[in-house]
Formats: sequence, structure tokens, C-alpha cells
Amino acid sequence: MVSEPKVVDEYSDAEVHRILTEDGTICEQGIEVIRRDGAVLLRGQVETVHRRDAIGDRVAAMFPDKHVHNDIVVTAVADPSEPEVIT
Amino acid sequence: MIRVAAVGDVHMDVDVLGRYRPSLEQLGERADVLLLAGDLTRHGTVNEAECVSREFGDLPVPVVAVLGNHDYHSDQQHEVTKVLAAGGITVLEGEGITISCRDVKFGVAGIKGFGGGFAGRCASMFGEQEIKDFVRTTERAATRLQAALLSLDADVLVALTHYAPVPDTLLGEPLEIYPFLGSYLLGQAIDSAPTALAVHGHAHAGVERGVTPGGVRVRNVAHPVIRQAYSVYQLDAASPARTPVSQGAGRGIDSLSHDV
Repeated sequence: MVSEPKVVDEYSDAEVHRILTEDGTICEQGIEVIRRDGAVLLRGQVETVHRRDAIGDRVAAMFPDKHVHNDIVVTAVADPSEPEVIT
Repeated sequence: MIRVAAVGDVHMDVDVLGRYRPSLEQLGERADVLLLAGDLTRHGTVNEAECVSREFGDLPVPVVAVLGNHDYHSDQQHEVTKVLAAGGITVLEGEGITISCRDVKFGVAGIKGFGGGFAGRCASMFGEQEIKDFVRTTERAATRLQAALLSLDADVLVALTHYAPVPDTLLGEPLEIYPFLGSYLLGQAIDSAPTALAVHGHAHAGVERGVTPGGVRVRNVAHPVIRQAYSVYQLDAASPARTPVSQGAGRGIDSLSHDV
């Protein structure tokens, strides 16, 4: 009898990172995926709330038995601070 | 004096349209030129380029851009460039442009650049053809950037790339990916000319400020780094031009043997 293949976290982490970059609906390279105490924590910055939620949904679908904490933030587009004088 | 506004990695698509526009409406009061440091789109499509054109076109100051790796993803970089140009955005890829502004000749040379890593920990032209092709791509970019910088007759000279010319501005990025974030060859090209400032993007987890070995100030303006619509740098044409750095005892960019 052949047993179920063991899931190795490092390989699945690598797959998640590649999917977040290569999935045409996501296309984000700078998202950190961190496992903590049975949960998955997402960190990074994106341009819109829609993009943040899409990443959270995609990762949740990959880890259906884990809680996903989505701490990705939407980067501010505030007015610029004072000019920096380059001398 | 010239005021240079800059931002990169804005990753435009329809969902981003209008986000930058409120701050851009006052751009003419704050800056004399706007530089876009690549990764202007998400996937490098024509539709996304049209979003860039709508967001960053029709501004009261000249807009000069380089493309980034995202802008090449769909193999439509030439079409993307045409769309941006039609929107009044000058796209540089191994070229330079001079802009006259308030009696100052402002020169900017730009290229996307490529990876390869930094001194002592970089890829070399050795081994498999695939590795040689990788290194050759960076060498070509550096050679073209140097030629563009040296071709410009300007009072103030700025280098614009997407990939980083120094490791300083990558602080915060994983060390393992530094070779994919930039190359010392770009810094060497920047140092070979009287460059006043080097602006790049690409490193979202990096820091804003760095300096080349030759003393050129480097600014990483990736949007996740500056966390504002754009940053503004004030450069004084009256400052003495920085002395270009010699290529030293080692091989200089001039010695790289390939077709540019």
C-alpha cells in the first residue's frame, strides 16, 4: 500500500510565492507568506483593496484548513513631503 | 535649481485609475519634471499602458520614463512604449534627453537595466550559455547607459533606471534575491559620468537612500518605499559637477566586448 505523499512546508511555500507572481490575476512579487502557529500571515503592499483581497482569497484557497491573516496594506498616495535638497 | 519629481512601480490598471491624479494636479507647483522609474503596469499590456497614459499624461511638466520588468511581461513592450509616447510620455531605453528649464539644461539618461548582483557576489560571464546571456544582458544595459549619460550636454545630469545600481537601497530585501534586483555595472556606468542623482525602482522592500561607490546619490522611488504619490528632489545647477570616477585598475565598462 502506498501512503499519501508527505506535504513539505518549504515546497508549498515556494509554490505559493510562484503562484502569487505567475497567476495573471495576482502578479505580485513582494508578498511575504509567513506561517505562525497553524495560521498563515500575509504581509506586503499593493495598490488597491481589490488586489489585497484577491491575494487573501487565493492563499485561503490554497490552505483551506488554515486561517489566513491578511495584513497586506494599500500603499498611500499622499501628497509629497518637502523636497529633498541634493547638494 | 531644478526640482525633479519621481515615482516608480505604480503598477497601473483600471483599478488604480485616479489614485495619483489628485497629487499630480499640483505637480506644476512642486516640480519641473516627473520621472517614472519603471513597472508602470501590472502585466505590460496595451490596456494597462493606456491607464498609465491617462494617469500620468497631460501634466504641466515633462514626463520621462523607463519601463520595468512587469512592462515586459506580455512581450508588448514596444506597443506599451508607443502608447506612452502618444500620451506625451518620453520613454528612454538606452537614450538620453535634455530639457531646458528656467535656464538650466537638465539631462536624463534612462534604461530599464537588469540584474546580476553586486561587487564580489555577482554573476560572471562563465559557464553555461544561459548564464552568459544573463550577464551579457546586464553588460549591454550598462554600456548603453554609460553612452547615453556621456552623450548629454547638461548642467544637471540624472540617471533613471528600473533595476538598482547599488545594494544600499535594497536594505530590507532578502539577500538571496539581490542578484535579481540590480547590478553594480549600472552603478559603474553612473559613476563614469558627472551624474548628480540616480533614480531607480524595483525594490519594494528596500529603502529610499543610497550612494554609489563614486559618490552619486541614489534614490529608490518604488511607490511602496516612498509611500506617497511621488518624491521631489531639488538639484542645484550651480553645484560643482561631481568628478567622474575612473574605471580603476580593473576592467571598465569600455572593455566589455559585445555588440551594444
